[in-house]
Amino acid sequence: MPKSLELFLSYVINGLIIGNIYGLMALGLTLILGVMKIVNFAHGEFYMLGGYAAYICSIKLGLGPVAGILGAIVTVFFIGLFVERALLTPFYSGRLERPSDYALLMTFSLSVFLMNVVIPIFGPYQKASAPLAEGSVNLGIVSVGATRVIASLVAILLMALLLLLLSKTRLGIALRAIAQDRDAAAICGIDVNRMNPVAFGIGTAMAAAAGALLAPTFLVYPASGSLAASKANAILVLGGMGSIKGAIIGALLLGVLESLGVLFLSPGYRDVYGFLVIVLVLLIKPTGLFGGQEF
Amino acid sequence: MLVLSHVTASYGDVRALNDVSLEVKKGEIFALLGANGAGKSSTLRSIVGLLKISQGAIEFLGQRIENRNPVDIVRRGISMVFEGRRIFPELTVRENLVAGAYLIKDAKVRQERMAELFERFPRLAERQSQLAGSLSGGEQQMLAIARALISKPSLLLMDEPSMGLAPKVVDEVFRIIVELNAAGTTILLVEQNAQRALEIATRAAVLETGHVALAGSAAELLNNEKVRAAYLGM
Repeated sequence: MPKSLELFLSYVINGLIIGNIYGLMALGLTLILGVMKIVNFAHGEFYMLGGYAAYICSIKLGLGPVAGILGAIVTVFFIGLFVERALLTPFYSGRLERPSDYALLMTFSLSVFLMNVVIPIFGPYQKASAPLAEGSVNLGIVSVGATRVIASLVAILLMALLLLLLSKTRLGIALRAIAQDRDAAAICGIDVNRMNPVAFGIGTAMAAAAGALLAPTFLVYPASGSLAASKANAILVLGGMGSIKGAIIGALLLGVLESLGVLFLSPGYRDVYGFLVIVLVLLIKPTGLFGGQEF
Repeated sequence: MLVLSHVTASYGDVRALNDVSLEVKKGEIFALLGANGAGKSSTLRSIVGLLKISQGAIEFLGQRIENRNPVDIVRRGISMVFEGRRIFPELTVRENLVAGAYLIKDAKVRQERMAELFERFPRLAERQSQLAGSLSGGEQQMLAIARALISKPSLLLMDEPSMGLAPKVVDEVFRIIVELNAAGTTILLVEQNAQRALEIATRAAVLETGHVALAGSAAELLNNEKVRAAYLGM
């Protein structure tokens, strides 16, 4: 294989590896958007909380990396349930004149609150959770840090579990039915408002998993969720708001595009390339790649 | 079986129902007629709890059900076929029925009901793993009806079941309504096609701008000058 092609492929692989983690993040956001019709502006902060939970479980409590990831998922799932019950129920009460504005302001305020509430607890400095594995893995043409490869595989596993839940279980069918037609789902006997905390809990737990998986390499700090959230939002727009297929493909695409931008242009603008492409996609196809497909 | 007394409801500032009173008796087909925007769909939505009413009462089998959670109302034995079918387009035919059977906790009962419906609607059986959105209009209407029937409702609300369908399919839909009714399901039917609706109905009411303008037996309404002129085009 020529050297340049090898280099190209190694960057593609790196892009796909990070893309899976983006996918986890974007899938959680899509689930919340689909079922609740809310864009969760605090999604990045659940990612950040996941990172801290992994840090506490794996380093502070010394339970190791697996406990770190599980601890992050479980803890944030319950935080998500609590947040939904405590802060978001007015959204569906029918008593608000502009519920969408309420949801936007509430999740945005929550984002700022969570970002600041962790500062006195953990301090402003970066923390790393326990690495998932030592050394690196040889993938044929490229050698990648083992922690990243495992993180990516775990992300694929979690996404597969969620897709399985959505496609094979009654709960999953109910969640998709709500996303497609809330009133019709209600008349099927599905308690649509009771499904909101379920969707929010699972969605935020996905973000936490992403945060926990990246905490060993990208570190965790109070504002570490901002970039992750902006990428997840961009993926949603790229894939077509609310489409699950779009979220996964969009995430992989963003990962690869960023990686190739680093290769061909400059590493300094890593976080810019994806957004440039998104702007281009939207100019050509404003509904995103899979717009109009719900779940 | 179902009694609406002085029901008033609004969408924001727009009044949809203004003092609507009507009664659907057990075993009948009750047709609700009226022009667009007269409040036919709003009446159905208020019955199933999707539209909150501000005044009046709705009673089903002697119990008050107004402004309750739709799930609670469905559990009591009311189901609805929406205007425009409203099947879940990105779910398969089978998944649509699984959603419709959400309140049935027993997997065996769900399987039995689904088998019954597939027997009754063989086209749906053939297409059970296809996405519902890929079905033809007529097939989607059959699916919408099947989804409403899987919970074995004692009262079925049907909102414009013949709308946008080919004449042959319309015939089939009306045949199904008559069959269902003969099998013991009470039906509240909202229809644009007043002639067809009155032909199969026991009794009927005409809504005008949110209130009941006329009510009586279907035969009376078929012969009523005003109804003939306004809704039957004669």
